[in-house]
Amino acid sequence: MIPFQMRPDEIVSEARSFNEKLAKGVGNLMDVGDIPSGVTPKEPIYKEDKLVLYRFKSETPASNKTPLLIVYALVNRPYMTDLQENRSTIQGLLEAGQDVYLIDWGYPDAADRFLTMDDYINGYIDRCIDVICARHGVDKLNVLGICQGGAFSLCYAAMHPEKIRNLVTMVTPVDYKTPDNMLSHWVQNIDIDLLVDTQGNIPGEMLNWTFLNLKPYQLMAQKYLGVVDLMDDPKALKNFMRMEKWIFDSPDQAGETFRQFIKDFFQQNKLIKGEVQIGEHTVNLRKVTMPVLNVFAEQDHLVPPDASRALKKYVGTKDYTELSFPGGHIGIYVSGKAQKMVPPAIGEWLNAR
Amino acid sequence: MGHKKQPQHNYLDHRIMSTNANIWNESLINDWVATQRKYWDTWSEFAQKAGAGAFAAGSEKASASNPFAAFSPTAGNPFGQNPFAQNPFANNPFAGNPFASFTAARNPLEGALEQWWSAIKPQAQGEIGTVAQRFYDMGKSFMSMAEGMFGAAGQEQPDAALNMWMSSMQAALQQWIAQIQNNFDVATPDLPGVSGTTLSTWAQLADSVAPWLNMSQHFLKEVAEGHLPGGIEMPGVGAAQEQFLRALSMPGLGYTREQQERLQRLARHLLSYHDSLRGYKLAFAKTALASLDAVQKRLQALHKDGKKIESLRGLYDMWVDGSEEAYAKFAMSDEYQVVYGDLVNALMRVRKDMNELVEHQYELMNIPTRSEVDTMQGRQQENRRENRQLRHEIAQLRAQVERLSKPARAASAAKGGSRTKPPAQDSLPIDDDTEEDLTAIKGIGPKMMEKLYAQGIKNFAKLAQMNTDFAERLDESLKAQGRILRDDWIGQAKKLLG
Repeated sequence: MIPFQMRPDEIVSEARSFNEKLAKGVGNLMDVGDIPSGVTPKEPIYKEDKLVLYRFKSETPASNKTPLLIVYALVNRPYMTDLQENRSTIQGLLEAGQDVYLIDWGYPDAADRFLTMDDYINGYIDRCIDVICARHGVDKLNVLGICQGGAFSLCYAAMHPEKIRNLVTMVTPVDYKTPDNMLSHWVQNIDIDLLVDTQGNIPGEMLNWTFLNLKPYQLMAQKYLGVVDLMDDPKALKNFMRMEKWIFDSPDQAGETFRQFIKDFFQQNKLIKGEVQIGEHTVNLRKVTMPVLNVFAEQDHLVPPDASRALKKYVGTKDYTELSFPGGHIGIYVSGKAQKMVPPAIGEWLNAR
Repeated sequence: MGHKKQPQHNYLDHRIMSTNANIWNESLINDWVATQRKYWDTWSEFAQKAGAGAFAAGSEKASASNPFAAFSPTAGNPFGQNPFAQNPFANNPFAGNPFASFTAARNPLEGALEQWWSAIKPQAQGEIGTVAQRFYDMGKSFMSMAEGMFGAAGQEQPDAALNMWMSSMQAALQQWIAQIQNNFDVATPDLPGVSGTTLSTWAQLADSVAPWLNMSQHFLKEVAEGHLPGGIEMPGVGAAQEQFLRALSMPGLGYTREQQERLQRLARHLLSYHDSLRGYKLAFAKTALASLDAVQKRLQALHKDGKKIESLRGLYDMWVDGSEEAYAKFAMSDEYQVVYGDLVNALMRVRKDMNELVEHQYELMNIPTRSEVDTMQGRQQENRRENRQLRHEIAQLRAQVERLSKPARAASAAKGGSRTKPPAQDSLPIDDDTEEDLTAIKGIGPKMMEKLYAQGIKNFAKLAQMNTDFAERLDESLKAQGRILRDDWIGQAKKLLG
């Protein structure tokens, strides 16, 4: 027995109402206007190749004298942390007394395909850190790494512990082979050398396609159906569009970096084995001896919480704290709940150290 | 809304019922076609009415955003606009759909759905345009489900309608699976009456790997249909394929040998790609069946709890949840890992062969190739890396020289301030240049050993002699990142000396 109770006229009526809403909504969509990439004023401090290091402007001077550098992933764009007024992790960190810097990696092109993890971590990140330290006359700063940027930050912290005062990792994969890691499951049988040798850089669209296919029905269809109900509210629609713009704004990933990241981290899980080799260094997480705050999302479908939680087991610090957020990989930055909870907690943790 | 009463009830009278919904037979198709016709007739009427009412302006400007413009008598010829020009599914590489010709001949309204959606589709470019496209796709899928339900709602009981609808999808899926198994999988079913719902979503998921990998759609279509580059026709399965493979393995002869070998390799890889794609789609099709089961189970659970589905939205959400559940299980299976990896690898091998063929042509024309550019870019990046490193080291050395060139000031400072540390020693007391293999020490690699040699530290005795101050300065000038003390090179050297 199937509990479906709709008469044909009811079906037509609902379908018609849906279509009317959609038709009006699509009209409103045309009037959304420009969507900025980030809302908090910022100034470029340092540029190198396609990278720009920004410092965010704050209305009040930072109470924490140790500057904070945000290292974002090479996947998608960093303005996710600064998406809209009142929905900005950056804003929250500024309000929590931090002096916030951020690395914008730009859009790598074919000429960047030979950028290695060594170039990114011991090159770009290291030089950005030198620039900030010199500006502030300090030897060490605070680093906040996000997702893949968190993995890069962990590697950096293990190789240059003397330059990091406190490390915050957010939705950062550490153990890449937890049983619920779908992305990792998918790449195990892929010949990454063949892929990178043939493709060069890995197209952003391909990465995006992969992420959307983690939950294709929800992310490619149901989500839009839900929005039809709020499409007559221009403000709500604009906010929806900010997120849409971000989701589909996906830079390509430098081929050599992708090669090492997928082979060493995803396929061979070398980070927790202490076997990752970056330039002249072997990355040993035991050398991460500064205080560590590990922030993860309980409903993260990209980086399962267990993948992040593993850090506790491998990190060398005695001052390790976890912050578990009841939300998803993106919600941890953009949801209303996150604004109240996450940046203030990070600020407080940093200010106490 | 003031729309006119739907005439669907008359339609019940002359509706041809399928007696066996498990077989995708002609009467079932006719059934769907008739349903579609009725449905779209209804829509057209509504559209015309709405076009004259809600969108009464009728101006050129208004018609741009008027979803019903194409059906409005005041609009231009609705057929002037090619519905396939903007059809997101028109790019389907698997165009040789056996259903397509089958239904097209019998379905005069084929394309009506496209027509309508083409009309509603906004013409925006850029970000808005791509988002609108996604709304468009979603709406089409949702409306298609409504269409399916509406069509099936001709049954006496609404629940029987849903049952029939699901059975027909099940039958269609089984047919798809049979096609794939028989190597007749050139088509992803554009299933009549149910396109845009869960079935075609599965099919799209199976298809979407192709654009993901940036392959040209045309090329894939050719491959999928068995036409290989160079006029090679690919046979199907069994003995023919074996023979063909054997032919592909024959060594090439004479002076075009290399080119022949390249083509043979490409053809072999194309065959293997074809197989991988088949395996991948088969797994998808089977999982689509499983998703129907998952939906059934949810329905049963609802029934057990005495709950009812009373809206399309409710049905859609349940559908999404059931399908997502089946998909997640599939995506985490060992089978998926294998078919997915195999497909990507097979596709990459084909692509690599294609690149090589193209490069060969370029070489003949004396045009630089991607490989050459790669070599240059690789070397350039290596140079940039070294250059950065050297600049860094020079800066450090400069700073060091500056410090050393001010000994007087340092000395007087030392005299004045009693708390200042005594000047550190600048060289090691023993003067022995015997070269030993320092890599025996953990933390010293061949490169580091070279650097140490350059500083005059060539044996364990010299390392063991260092004091902390010296080690710190040495560490700085070697850019060893604190490793000398952290890894306790001094202690290690002492240990090795016994």
